[in-house]
Amino acid sequence: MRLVFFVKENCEACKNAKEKVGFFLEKWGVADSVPIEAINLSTADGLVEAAMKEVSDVPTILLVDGGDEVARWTRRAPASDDLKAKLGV
Amino acid sequence: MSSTNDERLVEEELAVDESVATEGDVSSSVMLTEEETTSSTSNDDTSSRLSLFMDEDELLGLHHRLASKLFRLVRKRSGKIVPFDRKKITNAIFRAAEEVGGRDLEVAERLTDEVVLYLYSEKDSKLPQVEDIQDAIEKILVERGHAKTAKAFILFRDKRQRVRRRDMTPDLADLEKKRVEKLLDATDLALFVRTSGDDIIAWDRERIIGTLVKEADVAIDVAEKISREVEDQIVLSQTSVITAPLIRELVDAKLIEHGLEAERRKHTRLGVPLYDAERIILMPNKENANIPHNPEATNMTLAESVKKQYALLSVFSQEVSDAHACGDIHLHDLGFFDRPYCSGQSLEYVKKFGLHLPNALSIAKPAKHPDILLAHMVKFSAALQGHFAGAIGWDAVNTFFAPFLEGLSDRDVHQLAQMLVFEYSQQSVARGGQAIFSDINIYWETPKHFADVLAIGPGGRHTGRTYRDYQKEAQRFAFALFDIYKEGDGTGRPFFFPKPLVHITDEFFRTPGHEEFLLHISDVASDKGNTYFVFDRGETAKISECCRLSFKLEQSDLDDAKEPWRMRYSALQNVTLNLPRAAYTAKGDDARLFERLDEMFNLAVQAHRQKRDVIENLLSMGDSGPLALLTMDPDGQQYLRMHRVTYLIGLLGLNECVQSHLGQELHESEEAFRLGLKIIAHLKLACDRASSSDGMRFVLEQTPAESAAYRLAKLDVEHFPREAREVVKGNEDLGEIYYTNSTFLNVSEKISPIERVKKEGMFHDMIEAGALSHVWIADSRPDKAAVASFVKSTFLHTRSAQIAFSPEFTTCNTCLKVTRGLVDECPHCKSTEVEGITRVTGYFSKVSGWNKGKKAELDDRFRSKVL
Repeated sequence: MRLVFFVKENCEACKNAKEKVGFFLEKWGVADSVPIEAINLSTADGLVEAAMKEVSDVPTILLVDGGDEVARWTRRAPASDDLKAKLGV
Repeated sequence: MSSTNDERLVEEELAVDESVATEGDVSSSVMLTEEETTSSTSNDDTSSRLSLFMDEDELLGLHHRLASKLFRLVRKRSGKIVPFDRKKITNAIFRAAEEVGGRDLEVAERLTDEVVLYLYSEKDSKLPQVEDIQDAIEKILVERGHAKTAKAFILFRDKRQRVRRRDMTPDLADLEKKRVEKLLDATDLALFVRTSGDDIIAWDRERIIGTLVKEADVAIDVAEKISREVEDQIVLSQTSVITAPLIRELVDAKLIEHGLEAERRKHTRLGVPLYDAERIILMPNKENANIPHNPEATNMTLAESVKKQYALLSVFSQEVSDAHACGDIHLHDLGFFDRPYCSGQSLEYVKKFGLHLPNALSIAKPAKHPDILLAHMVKFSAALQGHFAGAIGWDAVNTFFAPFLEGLSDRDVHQLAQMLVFEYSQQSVARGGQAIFSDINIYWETPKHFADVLAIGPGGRHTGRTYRDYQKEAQRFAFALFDIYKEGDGTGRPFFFPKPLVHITDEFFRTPGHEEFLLHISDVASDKGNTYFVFDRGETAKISECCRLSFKLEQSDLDDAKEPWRMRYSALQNVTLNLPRAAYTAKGDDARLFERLDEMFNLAVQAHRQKRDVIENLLSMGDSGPLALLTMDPDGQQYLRMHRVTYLIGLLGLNECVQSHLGQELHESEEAFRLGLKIIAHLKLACDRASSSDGMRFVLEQTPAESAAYRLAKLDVEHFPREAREVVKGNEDLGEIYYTNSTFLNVSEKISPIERVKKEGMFHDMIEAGALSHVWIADSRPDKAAVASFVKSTFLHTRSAQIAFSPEFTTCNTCLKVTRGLVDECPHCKSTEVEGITRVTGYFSKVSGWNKGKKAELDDRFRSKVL
């Protein structure tokens, strides 16, 4: 599984969400097995990816298993319990 | 000197001349150097060549015949133009020769022929001046070895000149010159000018000079020269009446000859050819299907044509104008360059301030009754229609009407709704007698940003309650409006205007009664097609107008919402980029494609700056300017809030752009679709960057492209035939071609409606000025529950910003019955006098008024039987 963060430059909420999730992944010992990928909506390629995933707000976080979207959190970081449950840790 | 002496001198002179001509010798008596003599002989190459084929007498005879026919008129020093008389040259030469003893008239005549031939070959003008002729006489006399005669002629000429100077003081000379010129130019030429007014006046060359100096900043001596050249041309044409426009064209041609291109631009005359004027008067306007065909409309089309030319010459830079003319970009509504594009306003403005318009003949206080409020709203719309090029949109109409509806019976509310729809759909007002291009925004719930705002009621006074308190009345009115749309007009046809835009929000689905209302508006969508479903997801709030234009309300707008009359918006202009052309010139090179897009984008930004400057200038004239209405400020802010206007970057032919670049259309592969997204993303970011640096708000828009889709396709087939023919849609043999609108998928592809809405919706978040997907349902009539389900699904599972269902109708001009679908014959009375009706771009209109490109698109549209 991997986490895909849709972010923008100078977005404080994006930065905070990433730090929070990173913290818990470390804490649960899954930081290596659940990589984080950031997609920057301030770039054309980032906007393309966002459109393909029908993402319009930042931060949006997708939990992807293989090619499938397992969970999505929009305009906020996931609650740790929720993320933990979704990751199955 | 005696006449005997004169004759002798001339004889000597002419004898010497003969010796030069026959022997090529040099005589000291003629004071010519060997070089000059050789030169003068060899200069006459034509004569030398001709002399191989004819003897001297034949050659002289030919000279004489030629010379006697070369000039018809001559201009005297006074400016007077008189018939050319070669005898006067002969006499002048002979008289000079007599002074030095000459007497051979035949030689003088032969020299006259040479003078005339010389004038003809050396002077551009076919209307020689006296001075030119005298110069030529001197030259020919000297070159032909008649030095003494030449000297006598020069002395005589000088003497005459001194006499003329002595006889006239400078002032008198000037006055006399003007008097004579005026008198003689006007009368002796017997030339009259048909002016642009209803007048015929006598020819006056001074007018050309005055006009060139005043209008085109031409130096007075140059203007004088050009005026003479033009006069020569006119005189030689032997016309007796000439038109002012033709004179201007002749002057313009001379300006070009003199290399004065900038001055020619300033001096340009605007207008339309007779042929075009006739067509405009006789044929319906195909540029805009909303324009009727009547004298008022043809007035507008003619005026629009002239203003369009003016805009391209004087408003936009040469670079921008050329880019429009060659089809790199399309400047919309050029004929309306002196007004903003479209607008959105609040009924609260009319409720609070009444109808107090600058320069109006009467002033109305705030309405106290709902029908008067409606009258104010419609009249204000009509006034605004004359000040904007596009749509007049109204925000939250049912919400803002609500305080006026308390205590009214359902029947009265129904009646009011009926009045509103009929008033907008039947008004034939500004802009060539068009119905008002109008949009009304409708909410089932009270919009969140108005819920706690104090409501304005009758007399412009606050009622003491908030709009949340009037939700029931607002819903009653919304329902009644759709009752009217469902009924259709007097024959059951769908109403073309006002377009009802229902905002579908998260709150919509939480508001009691939404199921019934959604079914109601879905029923109208299926039956008549009127409903536009606008999706405001999350925190977004929009006001929609025009074909699909919408504005996202930002924090400052939400602050304004506390005083809703402040909420008025405008897009100042739309400039569309010809996306396929970027691909043609990129030739498959990705980097070049994006460079070309940037170049087009930068041109569009330039065009917007130039339009902004014009509008700001007109606004700065205040009450006395043409945009006085938009400068009124009863709330302390100018009606047109320039700091809130947007500048639209329109998109056209993304599908053909991608197809040309990759060889696949948007729907054909993920690679093609992603390239389409990347192009739009690239332009969206360009808008963001330009907005931060320019302080102007640039946003992408799905161009309606009613005429641009046709015009740019035609231009590209002409300029890029190989590339364009591979991708252009329609039927090229019939000249019915078009580019796919904006970011739409190919309209002919059999893509299911939900798939089309979903895919097209992926572009919508980047197109901030608004976007729309069509569901072409043609003659099918889907169940209202299916439509409602489709709408809900679109809201929840796509990013689509707006959808509309488009049925097709045929109305019979004989029995007036309406039939579903487009048919050639009325199924009720078998009449073939029928008219098709469906959506052209974003609004309903009669198909007969569509241009060839749009008709071709209509033929191609894939109509879905199921949702």
